[in-house]
Amino acid sequence: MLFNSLDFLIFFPIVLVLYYALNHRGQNLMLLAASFFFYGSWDYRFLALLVFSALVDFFAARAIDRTSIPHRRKLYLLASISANLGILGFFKYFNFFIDNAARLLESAGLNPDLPVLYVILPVGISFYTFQAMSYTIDVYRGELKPTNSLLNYLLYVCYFPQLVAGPIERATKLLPAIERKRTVTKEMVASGVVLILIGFFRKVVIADALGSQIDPVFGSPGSFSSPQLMKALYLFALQIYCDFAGYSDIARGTSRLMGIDLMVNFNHPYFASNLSDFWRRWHISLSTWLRDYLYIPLGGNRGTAFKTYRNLMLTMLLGGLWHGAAWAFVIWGALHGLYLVLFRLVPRIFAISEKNGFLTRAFGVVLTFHMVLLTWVFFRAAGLRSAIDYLQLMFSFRGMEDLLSAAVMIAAPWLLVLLIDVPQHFAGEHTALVRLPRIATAGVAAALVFLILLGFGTNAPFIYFQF
Amino acid sequence: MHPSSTSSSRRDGRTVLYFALALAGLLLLAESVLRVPAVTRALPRPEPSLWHAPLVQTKLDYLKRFQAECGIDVLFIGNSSVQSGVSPDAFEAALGVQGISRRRSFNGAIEGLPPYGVRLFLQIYLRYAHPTVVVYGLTPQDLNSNSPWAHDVSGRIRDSILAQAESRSGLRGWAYGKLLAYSSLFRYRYLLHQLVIRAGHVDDEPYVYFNERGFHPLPGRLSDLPPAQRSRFFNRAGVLNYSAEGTQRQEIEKIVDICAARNIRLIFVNMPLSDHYYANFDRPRDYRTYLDALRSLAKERAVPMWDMEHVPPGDNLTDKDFADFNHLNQWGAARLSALIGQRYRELNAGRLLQAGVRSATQP
Repeated sequence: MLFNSLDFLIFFPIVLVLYYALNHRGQNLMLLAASFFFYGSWDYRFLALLVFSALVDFFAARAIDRTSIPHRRKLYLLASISANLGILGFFKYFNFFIDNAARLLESAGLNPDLPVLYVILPVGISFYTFQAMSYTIDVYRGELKPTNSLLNYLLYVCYFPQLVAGPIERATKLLPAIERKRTVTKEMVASGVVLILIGFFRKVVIADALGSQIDPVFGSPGSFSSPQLMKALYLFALQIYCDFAGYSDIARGTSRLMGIDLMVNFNHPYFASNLSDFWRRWHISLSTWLRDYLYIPLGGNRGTAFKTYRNLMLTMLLGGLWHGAAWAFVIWGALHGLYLVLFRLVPRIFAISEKNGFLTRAFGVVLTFHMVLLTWVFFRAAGLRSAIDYLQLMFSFRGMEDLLSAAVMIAAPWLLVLLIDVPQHFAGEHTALVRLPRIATAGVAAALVFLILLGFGTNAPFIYFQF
Repeated sequence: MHPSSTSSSRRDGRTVLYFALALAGLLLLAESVLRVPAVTRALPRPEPSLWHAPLVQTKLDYLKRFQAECGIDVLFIGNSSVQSGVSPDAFEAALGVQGISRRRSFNGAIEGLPPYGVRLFLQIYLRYAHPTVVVYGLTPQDLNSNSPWAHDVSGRIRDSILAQAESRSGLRGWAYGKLLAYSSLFRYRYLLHQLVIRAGHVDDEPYVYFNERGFHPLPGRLSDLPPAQRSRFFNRAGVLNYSAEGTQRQEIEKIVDICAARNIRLIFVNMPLSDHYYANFDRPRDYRTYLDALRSLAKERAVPMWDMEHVPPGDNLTDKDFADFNHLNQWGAARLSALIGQRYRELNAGRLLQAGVRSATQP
């Protein structure tokens, strides 16, 4: 079920009414049933996989907690991680590895007949396996006491607002919110509604509408002039931001209406003044997950400079691979890893921070944005070859007479988004709209709803669902 | 109750009231402006934005025009393999050569349509045209209920306002029809949205690649390409997890019902595919599953099925006749259309109706 569908607009009010009518245990039971329905409406067969993944971690965490023998604890942890990565590897990466193994063998003159897997990728598998894994790891590290309630644990993994596209919540934060009795204040309702409106604005008004200007260009870049290729790239940077940040806003808003605060997943990433800052603002739940469960265990920045660079590259490569089983995503991750290494190697240019003056910071924001922009080509193009072709065509500077019209068409949607993001950024909160005078709040909200009504109904899927 | 709590509730109530007034004002203003003829004259037509694909309105306009000018006796339906695979001119020429009275035909196929879409568009076409024969060209992906492609396109068509309204499909179709009839804002909303997001810039009219009879002639021959380059046409759409049972088949059955209810003779055509298509088919047995299921459906519902994949050697379509793995080029389309014309003539003469049913039972 998509947030931007009529189905969800019917589903969510029913859930909300039931939620307010029930006691705490009833609320949790109902939310779990609603979450199963939400996920099952996409494909009920994969519910079993979701529950299996959750159960493995539930029992592994209990087993870890019950024993103090180190090697047993490690064994249970390994079993949990293997099960999760096994599921992920089987459904998401099996064909990728088989395909590459076959190519390798072919290049060695062999003609292998390797099996191909005929399954579809379960929606949200990368999100919920990572969330479930963090639970067991936190219990192993002694940072979390495992819950005895299977209901609460299942709800932690399957909680529908964030099940299929994050934020990837930590059990240390979400589980207590599930376990305790919740109260929904007026402020939570107001800020929840504002987040939902902003999320719908980003998704329906901006992200969905841009597809028609982006898809044909990336589909056949040779037919377009350089300014049109630039336009499609600038618009894609906006589309992917609005698509994913919009989803996170709606997830946070709907959850807040039920008294549960989800973490901020996007904090105006294109205002980042350096690459390290960008990753503190973009898909925060994934970047902090990778930091805590991969980068730091690898040694982080505690060793030599070389080891720090190695750890950064490995983390970003795996971060790229998390997004999809294709070399283009690996290259995308590698470029970000390379940028982060440059950030440390050449701090004078790449490590501009908040401490610098306005102009230097502004330069940092523009530089960081354009460095990220180039990596989006690899993310969006059909493959590695297509991405390189796209960049070559874009920098061939042909058909420059289209530059002005391309610039106008880039500016229009960006300005609309900045009208929301700039006040949010300077106010330091995502729900700054509720702090305006009431008549202004009402006017802005009405304008947002009007724009959403214009675009609602196309039901374009969220880009991050595929991950 | 604490006085500050009452005052806070009153303020909240006022905010909601201001919001409702502001929204109602915006909606009324937009609705009024869009009823001014000078404004709508200055705007592009909103209809293309209300379909699932840009050229659907053009195809419907062509069909209406052709019906008004000549009338349509034979209607071809299906996806892109039919749109580029059947030339109404060549079909009619074959009938003329063979001395059959002239029948007027139209290619109503639309690229990407799964059976759900074919059914909906047939319902729409039948509101404007009155064919006596409907020829439905099918490929393996049309019977695969596990096809993500079919799922995706069906979803888009389900969300297409005009597809639902024009086909008068259920409550949604009825509601969309009423909204389109009474609200200019509803009719223009996607267009306005695009104008806002594109700073008022509107794309040029899209290139119409099919002719006034709905046929899309494709240039190029697959045989002219070196073997290595041919593989870029590999198209696996709809062949993953092949399942010939379920929604796709049910939709085809509905098409049979619609034709039966209107006394229209329906004919299934198994569309030819390039040999490379089979070579790259994920699991060759899936093709067998497809063909058996189509034959069994044709037999159960007494619909003639013409298998154009398995024809006498002289009529066989080769790489010279294909533009890619599953689309005939203009020369291949001319050959196939002539073959269909020949079958049609035989059917009309009453000789092949039984044979058609027999061929559905015998491989």
